[in-house]
Amino acid sequence: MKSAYLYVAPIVVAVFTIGILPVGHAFYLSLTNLSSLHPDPEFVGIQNYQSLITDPNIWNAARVTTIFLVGTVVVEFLVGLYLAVLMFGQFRGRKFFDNILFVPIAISPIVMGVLYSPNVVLDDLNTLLYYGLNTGLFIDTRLPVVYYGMMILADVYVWGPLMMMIMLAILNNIPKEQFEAAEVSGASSFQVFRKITLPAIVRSPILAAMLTLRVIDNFKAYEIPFTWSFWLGQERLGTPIDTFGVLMFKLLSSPDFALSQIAAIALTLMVFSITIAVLFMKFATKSWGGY
Amino acid sequence: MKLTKLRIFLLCFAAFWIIWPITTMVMEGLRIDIGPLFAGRGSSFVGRFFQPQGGIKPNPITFIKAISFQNYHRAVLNSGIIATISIGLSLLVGIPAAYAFVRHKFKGKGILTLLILMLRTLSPFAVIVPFFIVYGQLQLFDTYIGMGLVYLIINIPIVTLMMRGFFADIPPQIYEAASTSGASEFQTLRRVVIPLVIPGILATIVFAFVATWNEFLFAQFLSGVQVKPVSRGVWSGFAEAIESFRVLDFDELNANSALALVPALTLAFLIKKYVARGFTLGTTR
Repeated sequence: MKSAYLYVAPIVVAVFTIGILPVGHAFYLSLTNLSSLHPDPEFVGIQNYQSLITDPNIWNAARVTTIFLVGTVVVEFLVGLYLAVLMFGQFRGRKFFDNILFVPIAISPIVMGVLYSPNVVLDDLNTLLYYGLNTGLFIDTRLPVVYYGMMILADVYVWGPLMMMIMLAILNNIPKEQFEAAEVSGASSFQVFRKITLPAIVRSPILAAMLTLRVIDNFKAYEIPFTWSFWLGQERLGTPIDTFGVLMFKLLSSPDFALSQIAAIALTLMVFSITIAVLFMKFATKSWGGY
Repeated sequence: MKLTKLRIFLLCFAAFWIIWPITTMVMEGLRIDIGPLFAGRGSSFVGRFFQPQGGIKPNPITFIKAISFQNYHRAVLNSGIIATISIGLSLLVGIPAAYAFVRHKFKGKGILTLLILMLRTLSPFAVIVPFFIVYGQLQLFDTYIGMGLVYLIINIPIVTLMMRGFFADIPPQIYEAASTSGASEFQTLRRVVIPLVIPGILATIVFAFVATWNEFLFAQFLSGVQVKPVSRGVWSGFAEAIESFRVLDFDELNANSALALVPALTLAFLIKKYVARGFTLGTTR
């Protein structure tokens, strides 16, 4: 239909200008040697991409990103499920807990990182442990378990309650008769969970779509690890908290200003994000009712 | 399900888990710190003034500093102007597109949807280098227009995909009734459809505003001293100065975080019902 093209013409122009054009420009830059040493870029071919393979910082970032990604997505799913089961149904004071659990949702990623960096939640805890209770113990932020754990916890703090909201929306769509029938036939609450609640959540395309979004968001995560960079060697490359995002952040802030190198890293990662976008669309079209 | 004692305990524990870091943040911002009670009293100088540090007496000095010496209000204004430009433009391009997605079949619909989704999944680092260079040439670096344009990357997917859900919620009979009474498509859109989705548009605006308010990376690299938004001010202070890595002390960091959190939280509570839709890009109804 002709009028349909009239409606979508502005967005096509917009997507071209702010999406396709910059990515194309970035691709061109990634084939040059633009940096503060070479302000007039020369064409160097795929040299930037080749050097990625041998760069230890990239492999370090891949390892850290994987830990962060897998940790957050798994823990968020579990915490969301736990909270959803806890909050499902009607009871007195439900509204109060509902409001409390909504609070983290508006927190920006950078504030999230600040909240869970050592100076906030660990400071008082350590004082209490070490001086207050005289145990001589304290939570050492230099331990991998502690910094990975805290970074993952920071992300779960915001997205766990959101997972809960989505799972509750799914659970509220289950016909009430199913639960009533289970009660009449004398099923235990664990059986109800295993036979009705869990399958409904796991099979939902909405949850699948949400999880793909979490994967892509945490694949490009930088705010939370960035707030930790202050504690673990801030401007040095290749620290154990350098996700791809933080690595590129540090490269951008460094005096070398190796723009072509950053473009090469970002575009290599983009291949992954396209795959995820396709996956998301596959899940989302079911609940959108066709694309 | 019954409300057993165990369940009450677990619910209270979850509530405590949510509340504790925020309370600590505000308390640290107020310089309430139990450390010195056990480990001896610390002190610091703010300007020429002696400041006892720690203890349980609240001291609003960091909040006062952020608001009066460091131009918090200017950062809020900057964020507001940037969000207004960006969300206004996104609504102009996003609403007609969302309508077309729901009501029309056309060639290239799948590709366009995928492209819009890819804007959402795009790593900001993939586009920040070109934006950096082009903005330098067009003198858009550190301007409201430039920041508003770059935030389209975030707001166009939000607006289009959220509005698509709201348009899909309107029963098809309404469209049919309007067209049988002889109204043209444009008239139907203006007189019937848009008034029905006004709550949806408002929810979308608020959601996009919170997303823009919270974004950090574009703010960090594409704003300078003139249009520094709040999200950047959290980390490097609301003062009009350029820093890339942190220069604040912890109390300031916490006070700034608290100041940035309050408006976002208030707005998010206004659209509580629609927030899940926004985060799942219109797949939850």
